[in-house]
Amino acid sequence: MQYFLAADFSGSANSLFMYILGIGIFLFICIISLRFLIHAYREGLARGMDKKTMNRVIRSSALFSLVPSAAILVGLVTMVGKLGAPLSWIRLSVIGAVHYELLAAQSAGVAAGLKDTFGVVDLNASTFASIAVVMTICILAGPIFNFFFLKRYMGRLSVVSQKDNRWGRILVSSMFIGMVVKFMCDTLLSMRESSIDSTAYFAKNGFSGYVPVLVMLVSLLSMFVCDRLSKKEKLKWLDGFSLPVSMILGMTAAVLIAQGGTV
Amino acid sequence: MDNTEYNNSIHRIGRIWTGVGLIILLSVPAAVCVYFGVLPSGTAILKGLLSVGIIYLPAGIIEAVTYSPILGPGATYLGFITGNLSNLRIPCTMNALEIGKVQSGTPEGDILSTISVATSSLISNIVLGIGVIALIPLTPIITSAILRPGFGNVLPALFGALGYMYISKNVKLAIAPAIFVSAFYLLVPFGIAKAASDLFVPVAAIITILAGRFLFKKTNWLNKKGSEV
Repeated sequence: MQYFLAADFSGSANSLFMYILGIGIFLFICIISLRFLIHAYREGLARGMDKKTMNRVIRSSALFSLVPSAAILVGLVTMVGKLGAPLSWIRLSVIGAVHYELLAAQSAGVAAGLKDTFGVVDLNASTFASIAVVMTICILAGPIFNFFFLKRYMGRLSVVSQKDNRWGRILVSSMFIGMVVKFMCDTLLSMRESSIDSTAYFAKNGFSGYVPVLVMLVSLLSMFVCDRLSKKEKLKWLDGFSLPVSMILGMTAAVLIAQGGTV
Repeated sequence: MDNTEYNNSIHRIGRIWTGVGLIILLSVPAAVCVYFGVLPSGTAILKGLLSVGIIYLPAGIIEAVTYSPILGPGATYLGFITGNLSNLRIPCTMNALEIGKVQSGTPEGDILSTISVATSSLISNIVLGIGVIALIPLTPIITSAILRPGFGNVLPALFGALGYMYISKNVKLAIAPAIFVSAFYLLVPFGIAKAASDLFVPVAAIITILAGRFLFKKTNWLNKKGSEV
């Protein structure tokens, strides 16, 4: 099945081969999780820990994980249009999260010559491979650190934990805020590009340059509303869904604006 | 098994499975290249590393350093393969420690954390698997022309939401990069601004770090807010 010879890459991105890779990752996650679960459970029994408590932790963790897992699934929907279902599934099954995956995919795609608004139909085999490489390697520092240094680090932890790590937290927050601000400001570039030649921008992207700004604002406002609502006792469950729900509302606004042709 | 023996065994298992996990993770793009008979673009990878890796590679190490005392070794090894740490595994672990009435950092805490993260990883994996099966028939709709403006605006939607999430907690940190980046984008000739935007992630990050350093050292604000950052 030479899917990749087709003009539209979505068939290749959603090919049987990609699904087989996805199933392989699915099985690996099941195996590694069961391996750690069995090891810890046996060790707990050997130490005389209460079996009922351990079973309760299993039940509670399973229930606790259902809603956030559904939220991850909603996040997957936002990725499918860019990368196809199998690669999105693979990436969200392992280390990373939807915002990281989209960002890595976007950077690699644009660097490979695609327009900012590319979708799975715009990909070719080489850009698809480049995107898969970038998404994989940019997130590997954590597991690599664990592989080489975690044992030594945990050994020295008592000393380290006594130090003031407030500046470390500020450093991380600063890095992320810098990145977020940069990508928010990117919508200004779209607006500026559209104001220079609106016809060319529309022909390239299928919507006006003002749409990304409006989408960003809709998404930001939705997040604000979700945040406020999730502070109410009865709506606490909404917290895990705030990000994907806000994104989907923003994206829906883009579709509606494009359909209406008002902007 | 005494504490040292348990520690050694969990680190041995953790390292083995992390090693296997790293190989499996890397084998996905390798398999894509082999199957499609292509090589990835060096430029795309380099630019991806410059704009995303420059943030996420150090952040990954900082996360491991920060989260491992809460998770304990077993859950750290596993959680850093199965992902979704801050939004799922960490809260799940806190919940497990609460149920067991144990402290993180104790052998009992490590055991319950590992059980919790393993169960959570299994459940999210199964939910995602079922969801993908349900999505297959919907793929033509998701990739249709009508929905393209929606998927073409994934990043503005993402960063609108993330913007509220991060900036609402640290408005002062966001002021300096927002002024610098928007002024550059609007005042510099468009061609230069567009070309330079690819490299602006590290630039904006450095400006924010400098602003953060200034606020941390020179004012009381971050010292008071430090624990919330």
